[in-house]
Amino acid sequence: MNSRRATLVFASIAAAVILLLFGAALLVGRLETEPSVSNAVNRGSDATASVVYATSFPDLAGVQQPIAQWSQRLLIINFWASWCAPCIEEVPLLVRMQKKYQDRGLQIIGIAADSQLNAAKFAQKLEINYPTLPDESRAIEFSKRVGNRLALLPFSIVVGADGQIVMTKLGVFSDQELETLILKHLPKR
Amino acid sequence: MRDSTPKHSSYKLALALYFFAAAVYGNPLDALVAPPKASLVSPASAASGELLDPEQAFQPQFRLRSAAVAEIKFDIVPGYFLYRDRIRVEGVVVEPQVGGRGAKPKQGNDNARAATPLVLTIPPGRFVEDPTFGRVEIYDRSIVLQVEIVVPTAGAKSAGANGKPTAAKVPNKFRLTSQGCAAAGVCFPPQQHEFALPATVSGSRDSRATESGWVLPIAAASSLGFGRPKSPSASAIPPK
Repeated sequence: MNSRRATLVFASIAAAVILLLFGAALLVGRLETEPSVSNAVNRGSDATASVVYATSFPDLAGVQQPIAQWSQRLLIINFWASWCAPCIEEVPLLVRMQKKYQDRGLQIIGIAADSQLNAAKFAQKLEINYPTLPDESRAIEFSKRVGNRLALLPFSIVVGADGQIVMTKLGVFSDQELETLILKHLPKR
Repeated sequence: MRDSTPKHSSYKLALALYFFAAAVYGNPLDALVAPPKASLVSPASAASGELLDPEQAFQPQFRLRSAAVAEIKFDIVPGYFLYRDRIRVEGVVVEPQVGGRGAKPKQGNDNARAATPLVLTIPPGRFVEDPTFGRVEIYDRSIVLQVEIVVPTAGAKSAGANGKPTAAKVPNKFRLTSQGCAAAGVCFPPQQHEFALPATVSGSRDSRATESGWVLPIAAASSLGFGRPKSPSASAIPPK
């Protein structure tokens, strides 16, 4: 019996050692062949964030608003339009988040692929409490430059206060998804 | 009791391997309970790889039915829909250049009259309750619209400048505007497609052109100022 037990223990140890070595080899290979998530995000975000901060869009009064003025805040740029039903459905959530977290460094802005008149009408109707920047001819094209490949709406890009792209989002945020994201990336005080 | 030792060893080994694998690859349960990791490719963005380009999702095509009537067909892929009230078709007549030998379409509207809405016969759609827009009529399957291709001129019913009644004109091209969404919860900007009418129709209105099959647009773009012109080689009427 002792012999059988010894064999079993030996086999277990041998299997564990082999698997440990195999796993370690895989881990090393993985680190060498794939960029880490954070590196991949940082590399992409440097260029994309520069594009974001370098631009400006007109507000509802027609005054150009440089995006860079919000660079010290957690910035959520939401691309929307009055002809986009999901976009309109998403606005109340954005309004709530802006109200709840604006004092903690959140800034939402809405870039509307719409006429100034339509954007103003919907901004009033939806009681939008963050800047609405309509530019019918540039909004979609600009969203494509920052990752909206198919030019679909709604589309959002989230830029941290550190100037790093946190994420891009095609489609509507869920309440929990957006609030979790905001809480995680609000500027540290 | 003696039989339990190997079992316990197996459990310990399995547990050790699980924790080792979790350390190396991440806990598989995290995917079920943890919030999504920040990434340029969000879950929704990743899903965009499965979404179609609007031209694939709606596939507008055109053909002549007669010298006076054309048809426009949308082959709508399941999971996508167009708003019925956002479809319109305009005709553009390119006027002969002053001093030129005839009509020659240019880029832009250099010699084109303002686009004129054409009379559409459009089938009924399906009514759905939209939380934002209320009761809306949509198309979520293939449809065919009929278009009267004659553009009424401004003075068609009255005398022209020379005192003679001016005739209605056949446009050189159609401009189709449509707007739709994916049921996944994203929308396409309004799309514009242009279809060229063959010279035989816009000129002598040769009825042979009606034998043509469905053809693709010669240009596609968003009406918001971006898009991709089709290859110039794209033919309005395919070779017979």
